[in-house]
Amino acid sequence: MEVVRRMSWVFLILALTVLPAAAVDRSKFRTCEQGSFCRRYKKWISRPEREKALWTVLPQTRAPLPEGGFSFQVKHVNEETPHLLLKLNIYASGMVRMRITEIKPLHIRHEIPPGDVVSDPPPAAAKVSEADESGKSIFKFATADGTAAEAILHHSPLALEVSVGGQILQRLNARNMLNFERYRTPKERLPPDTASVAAPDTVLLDAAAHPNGLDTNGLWEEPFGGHTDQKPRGPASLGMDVSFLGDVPSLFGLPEHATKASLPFYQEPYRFFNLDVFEYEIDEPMALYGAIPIIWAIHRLGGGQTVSSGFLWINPSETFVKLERDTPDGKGGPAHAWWTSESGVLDTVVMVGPTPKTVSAQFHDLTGHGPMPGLWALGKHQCRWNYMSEKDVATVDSMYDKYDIPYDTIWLDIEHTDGKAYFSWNAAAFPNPKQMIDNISAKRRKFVNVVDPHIKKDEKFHVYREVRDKGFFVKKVSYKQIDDPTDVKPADWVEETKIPDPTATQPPEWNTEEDGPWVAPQIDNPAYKGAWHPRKVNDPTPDLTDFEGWCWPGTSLYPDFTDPAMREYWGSQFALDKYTGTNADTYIWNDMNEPSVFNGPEVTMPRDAIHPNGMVEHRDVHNMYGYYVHRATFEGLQKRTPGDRPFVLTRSFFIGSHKYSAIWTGDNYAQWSHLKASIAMVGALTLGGQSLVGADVGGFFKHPDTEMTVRWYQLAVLIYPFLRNHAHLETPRREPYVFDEKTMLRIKASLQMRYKMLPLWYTLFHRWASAAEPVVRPLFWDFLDDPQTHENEEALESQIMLGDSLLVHGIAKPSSEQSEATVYLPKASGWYSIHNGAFKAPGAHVHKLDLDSIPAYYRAGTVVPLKSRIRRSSACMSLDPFTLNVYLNPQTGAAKGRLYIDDYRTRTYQDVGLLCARKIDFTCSARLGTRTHHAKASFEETLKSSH
Amino acid sequence: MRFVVFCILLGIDEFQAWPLGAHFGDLSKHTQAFEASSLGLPFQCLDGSVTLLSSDVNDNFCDCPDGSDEPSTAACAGLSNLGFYCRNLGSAPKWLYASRVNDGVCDCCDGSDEPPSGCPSSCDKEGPAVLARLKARQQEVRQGQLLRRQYEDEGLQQVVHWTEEKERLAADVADLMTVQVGDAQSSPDRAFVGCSSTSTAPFYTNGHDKEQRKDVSEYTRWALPVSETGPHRSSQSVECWVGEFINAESFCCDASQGPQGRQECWDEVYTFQSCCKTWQRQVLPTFERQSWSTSESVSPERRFEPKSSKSVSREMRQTKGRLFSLESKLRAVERSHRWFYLADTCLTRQTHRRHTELSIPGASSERVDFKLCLFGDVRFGSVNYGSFDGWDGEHGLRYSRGQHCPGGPARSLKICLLCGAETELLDIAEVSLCAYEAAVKTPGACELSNLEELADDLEKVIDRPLMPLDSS
Repeated sequence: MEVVRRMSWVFLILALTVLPAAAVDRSKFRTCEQGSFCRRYKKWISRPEREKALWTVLPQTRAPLPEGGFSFQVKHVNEETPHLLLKLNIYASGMVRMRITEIKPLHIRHEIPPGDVVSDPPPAAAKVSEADESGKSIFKFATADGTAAEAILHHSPLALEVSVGGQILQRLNARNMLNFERYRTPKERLPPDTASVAAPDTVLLDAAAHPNGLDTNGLWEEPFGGHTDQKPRGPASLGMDVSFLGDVPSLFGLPEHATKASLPFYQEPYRFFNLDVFEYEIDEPMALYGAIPIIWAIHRLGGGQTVSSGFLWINPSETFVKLERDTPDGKGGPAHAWWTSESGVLDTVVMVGPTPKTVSAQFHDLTGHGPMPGLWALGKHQCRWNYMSEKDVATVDSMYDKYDIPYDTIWLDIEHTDGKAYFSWNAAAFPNPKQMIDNISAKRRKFVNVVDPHIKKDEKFHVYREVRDKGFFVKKVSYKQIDDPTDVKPADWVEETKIPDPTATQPPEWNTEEDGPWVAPQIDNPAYKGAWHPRKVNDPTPDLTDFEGWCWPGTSLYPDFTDPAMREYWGSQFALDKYTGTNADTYIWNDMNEPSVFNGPEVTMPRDAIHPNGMVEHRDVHNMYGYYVHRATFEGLQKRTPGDRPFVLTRSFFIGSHKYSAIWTGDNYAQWSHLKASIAMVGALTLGGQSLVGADVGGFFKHPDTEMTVRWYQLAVLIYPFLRNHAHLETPRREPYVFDEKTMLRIKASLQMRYKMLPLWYTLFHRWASAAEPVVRPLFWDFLDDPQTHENEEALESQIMLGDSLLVHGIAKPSSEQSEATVYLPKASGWYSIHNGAFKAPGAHVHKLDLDSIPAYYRAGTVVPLKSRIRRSSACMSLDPFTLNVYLNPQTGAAKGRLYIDDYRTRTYQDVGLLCARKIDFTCSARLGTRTHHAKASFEETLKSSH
Repeated sequence: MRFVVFCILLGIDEFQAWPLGAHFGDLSKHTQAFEASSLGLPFQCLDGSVTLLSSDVNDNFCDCPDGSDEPSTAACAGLSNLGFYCRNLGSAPKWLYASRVNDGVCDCCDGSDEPPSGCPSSCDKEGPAVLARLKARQQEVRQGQLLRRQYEDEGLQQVVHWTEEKERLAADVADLMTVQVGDAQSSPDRAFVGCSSTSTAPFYTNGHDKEQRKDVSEYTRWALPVSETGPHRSSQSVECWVGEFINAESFCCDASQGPQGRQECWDEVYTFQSCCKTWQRQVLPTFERQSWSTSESVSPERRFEPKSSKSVSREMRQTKGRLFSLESKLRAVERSHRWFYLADTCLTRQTHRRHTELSIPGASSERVDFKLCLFGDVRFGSVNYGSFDGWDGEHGLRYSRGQHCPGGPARSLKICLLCGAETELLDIAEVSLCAYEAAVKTPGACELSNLEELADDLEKVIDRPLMPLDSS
C-alpha cells in the first residue's frame, strides 16, 4: 500500500500538499549527488592520478582464517601501520569472496551476523593450490563441475582477478576506485595514525580526506527533506569497482529496480535503499522496496565461447552502483560497475560460473536454498484493499464458485483490523473471523491476513505494551553537545586577562609609609589566550527514547527486528491461541516493512535511529529491516503449525529473503508499461534467488480496462510464480467475475490454464529448491550460446522462460496499437505453440494476435506434466491423475521431462524423502505420429509405478 | 411432474442402475444412452460425436468431447456443462459443476459427490429446515406477488391523479407568472434597490441563452419572463432571484453543510434533488464549485423582493414546491406505475459507521442511521450519500453525487431490489472507496418467475419422500 493515504483529516491535508498527479515525487528521494557519501565517492574516483597505488596487500601477513580462507593486512601508503584486513575465501562450488574491514575501529563496523545472509556454516572451501609471485598471490582451484579457475590477488594496488579456463572474467578494484573510510574521532579530519599529520589538508587518504576539492558537507551531520541526520560516528563509507571482462553484451540483475532486463547504463547510479515509493515509474534506477545487489554478466570470449558470471555486494546500508562502459555508444566490450555503501564492511562475492546454471547454484550455495512452497501458494490469490466484512469475503468466495473459476487464497488488507492494531479484528465488520476463515478452509482454500511491522501506540494494544516493556522498540537519540571530558586545559594556557605593567616602576615620589606599598598598574595581558572551554562533542550517552513515527495507525513504533529476541517474541504472536480469529490455514502478509514511516526522511526510518540490539545505527542495517521482519513471521508460522510450510509475503527484502518469503513488486500501476516491466522485474528477482515472486495482476493503482486485464492475466498465469490480483481502495472491484462475460471467460481460461499447469510449476519449484534453478528466467539462462538472447530487444524485454520448457512473449499494448508480435524462438530443435500445438522452427516469427491468448511455445523435446481436471482450488486437485504432454524433438523423436510429487504442504519432503521426483524419458518406439491415445496409456502406467 | 413420469418409465430396478450424479431432468436421450450402456451396449456421447464401449462409461476417464460419458466422476470437469446432480433425498436436490465431484469437499448433503463414507449424510437433518425455508420464502413471494398486482392497479390511478395535478399546478404557475411580470414591470426601479451586491450572473447568462432554455431549471424558467422584458432591468431582477438561489444552494447543496442537511432544508419548497441537480448542471460548467459554496451569497435577510409581489412570490414558491414534488413522484413511476408506492418511502437502518467510513480511526463502535429515500436522497448520519439518478437495469437504482469522501470521490450508491412481502433495507456494503451497494426487499420486485422457481424447488423436496428409493 502506498504512503499517502487517508490517515486522518490532519494527515490528509499534509498529504495532499505533496500528492503528485500520477508520478513519483522525485524531490522526496535522494539521488547520488544529494547524498554526501555518494557525492564524496564520485569526487574520489575522479581524483588525479587515480591509478597510483594507495592500499597495498602485505603478503607476509597472510594468515589462515578460523572459518577457512586467508587474511592479509592492508596498508595505506599514507599510514604508518596497516589498518585494514582483507579476507579471502574460495568456496568449492566456484566462488571467490573478498572482504575488507578495519582492524581496530573506533566503533564496531557492522557486519551481518553469520547465517543471516551467508549460510552458517559458510559454503565448503575449495581445494586451493597457492603460489606467490612477485606482486601477486595466486590461488588455483576447480569449480564443482571441474572447471579450472584462479583467483589472483594483486598486492599493489590491491586488486583481485578471477579467471576461469584461463580467461579473466572479473577484476575487482581494476580501476583503483577502492575507498575505505576508517572511523575517526568527532570533527577530526583524519583517523588516528595517518602520515604527515602536520599538514592534514594535503594528505591523500580516502574519500573523506584528500586534497582534491574535498566536500566536507555531510560528514558529521546531513540535512535532507527537513530532517537532519546526526552522524556522531562520522564518515564510514566504502566503495570499489569491478570490471566484467571480455565482450560483455548485457548485464542483468540488480533487483529491485523498475528497469529493463538488460540493465541500462544510466547516468545516475542504481540506488539500493529500501523505500516505500508512491507510484514508482518505469525505466528508472531509483530505489524501490528491496535490495539484492547482484550483477549477472555474459562474457563472450575468444573462440566463440560464451560464459556467465555473477558479482554480489553484501552490504545492508545505503548502496549505489553505477554501470559504465569504455565505448561511447555504451555497447560491447567490457563493462564496469562501481559500488559505494554508506557504512559497514566491504563484502563481495564473485560467482565464477561459467554457466548460468552454475552461477545460480553458487548463489544458493552461498545464501541457502529456498523451501518448497505449499502447492496452494502457486494458485490464484485474490486480494483487495479491502474486503470489508465477513459477508464480503464469503461473497467473493462464492462468486468464484458460481462461475467455476479456480482460486486458492483470499486476502485481507489493513482495514480488517481494529484501528490498524495488527493481530486484531474490527469487531463490527468481522465479528466471527474464525468462522469466516473456517468456511474458507472447508473449501480447501487458504487465507492471508496483513500484519505490518509498525506498532500502534495504544495502551490498550498488548503488542505495544509488551514490546515497549521489553525495550525492543527502535530508539531515537536526543542529541546534545557536552564538554569533551577528554579535553584538558593545556598546561601553558594563559587565562589571566590583566597583568601588572612590567614597564612600570615605582615613582620616585612614592612614599610607602603614606601611600602604602606600591603596586604596578594592571594592563591587558598580551599572552592572554581567552577563556578556556573544553571542546564540544556529542554526548556519548545521550538520552534514548522510543522512536515514534507515523504510519497507518497514526503514531506508531518500530520494533528492532534485528534482535533475535524480538523476532522470537514476534513469531510467538502468531500462535493460534494468541492471534485469535485465525486458524492453521491462515498465513501472513508483511507490508510496509522497508520500514515505511510516513513522516520520516524519504518516508522511512531516520538513519540515526538506534537499534537497541548492539546499539547499531539504523543506517548500518536499513536494507535488512524488511528481511528481519518477514523472517520473524516465517519462523513464527513454523512454530505455530509444526511441519506445515509457512507462507509469508513481504514487500521489502534483501539477499536471502528467498529462504522465507514470497515477494511482490509492490504498488504498481494499471498501465501497459507496468505490465511490460513486470517481465524484466520478475526476471531480475529470480536471478537474485527469489523465485516465488510476482507483480499485482492488473496493477494496484488505478483501474485497468478489460483488455489490459485480460493481457495481464494471460501473461501472469504463465510467468508469475506468485499470482495475485490486488487493487487500491479507490478503484472499482476487479475480481474476474465482475467483468462482461467475454472478458470473464478469457480470464477464466487463463486461470484454468494456470491450474492445469500446476504440476509443471510445482516440479520447477522442486528444481529451484533442490537444484537452485530459477523457476522463471531470462532467455540467456537456457540459451547462452544464442547471441540473440543477449541483445535482441524483444527476446530480452518481452520474453521469458518458464523452466527450460516454455517460452512466453508478453503483449503489452492494446490491440488498437499492436496487431502482431515478433516472437524470437531461440536455437533449439523446434517449438510447439502451447495453444494449438503448431510447430515452429527457431528464429523470429510474426505472430498474429487475438485477444484469446498471448504467444507461448513449448520447446521441442520436452515432456510437460499437467492436470486436466480444473477444480476450485489446488488442494481439490491433489489426488487427480496427471496428464503428460509430449512435445517430441522432430529430429530424434524423443522428449524428456520431470515430474515431482509430494504431499504438497508439509515439510516431510526435507526429512524423510517422502517425495517422488522422476525423470521422464520418452522415446517414440515406432515412427513419429504414434497415436496419442496409446502414448497416453503407457505413461499412466509409468506414473502408477512411481507412486 | 416430469419426475414422476420418468420414474414410471424406468421402474425401480433400472433406477438403481442409474448412474450416480446424472441429471434427473429432461434427458430422454441421455436416459436411453445410459439404459443401453447398462445393458452392455455401446454408449453414444450426447453430441453424437463418439461411440464408446459400455465399459468406458463412468470409468473416470473422459472420452466424450462433450463430457457426457462421465456423469458420476470429475473426469470431464471443465468440458461438460451437464455437471453432477445430487439427489439429496430428504432435502433439496443440488446441481454441481463436475469439478466438485471427489474433490474432498462435501457439497451434497447425501454425500454423493464424494467417495462412500467421505461425507456424513446430513439431508435428514437439514431437510426440514430447507423445506421450512422454502415454504416461508414461497409465502413471502406469494404475498409480494399479490401486492405487486395490487400496486399495478392502484398505480395506474395514482399516476393519472398526479399527472392531472401537475398540469393544474403548471397552469397556476403560468398564471402567477403573468401577475409577477406585471408587478415587476410596474415598479422597476424601486423594486431592485439593494440587489446590486448579489453575486454574479452565470445563471442569468444561462437564462439569457435561448439555446439553453429547455435545460434551465423550473425555477429559472419561472423567473425568466422577467428577464426577457428588458435586458438591463431583467438582469437585475433575475440576479435578485439568483441571489436567493445561490444562498439556498450554499445551504442545501454544499458538501460541508451542517447537520440538519438538505432534505429538511428544502422539503417545503423544492425537492432539493431538483434544486441541486439543476444548479450543478447549470452553474458548475461555468462556475467553480468553490466559488459558489463559499461566495458571499445573499443571506435571507438581505434578500430583497418588491413588496407588491411578495405574496405572489410566496404562492409561486409553494406551488412550485408542490410541482417539483409531483415531478419527483412521476419520475418514480417512469419505469412502471407500480413503483408509485415507493415514491415517498424512506427506509432506515442502524449500522456501524465502520462499514462505510474506512479510515476514520476510532469510529468503529458508532452506530448511525442509514436513511434511504428511494426516489430521493440517501443519508448516513449527517452525510449525504447521493441522490436518485435513475434506474440501473430492471431492478437496480442508482444514486450519485453525494458528499465527497475526504480526499476521495463523491459518494454513490447502487440499490438492488429483491422480491419481498414488505419493503425493507438489507445489507449495505462499501464495494470500493465511497461506492456503496445495498439490497432492498420490496413487493414491486416480485416476478412470476420467482414463484415458479420456488414451486419447482419445493416440488422436488416435497415430492421425493414418496420416492420408492427413499426407504433404502
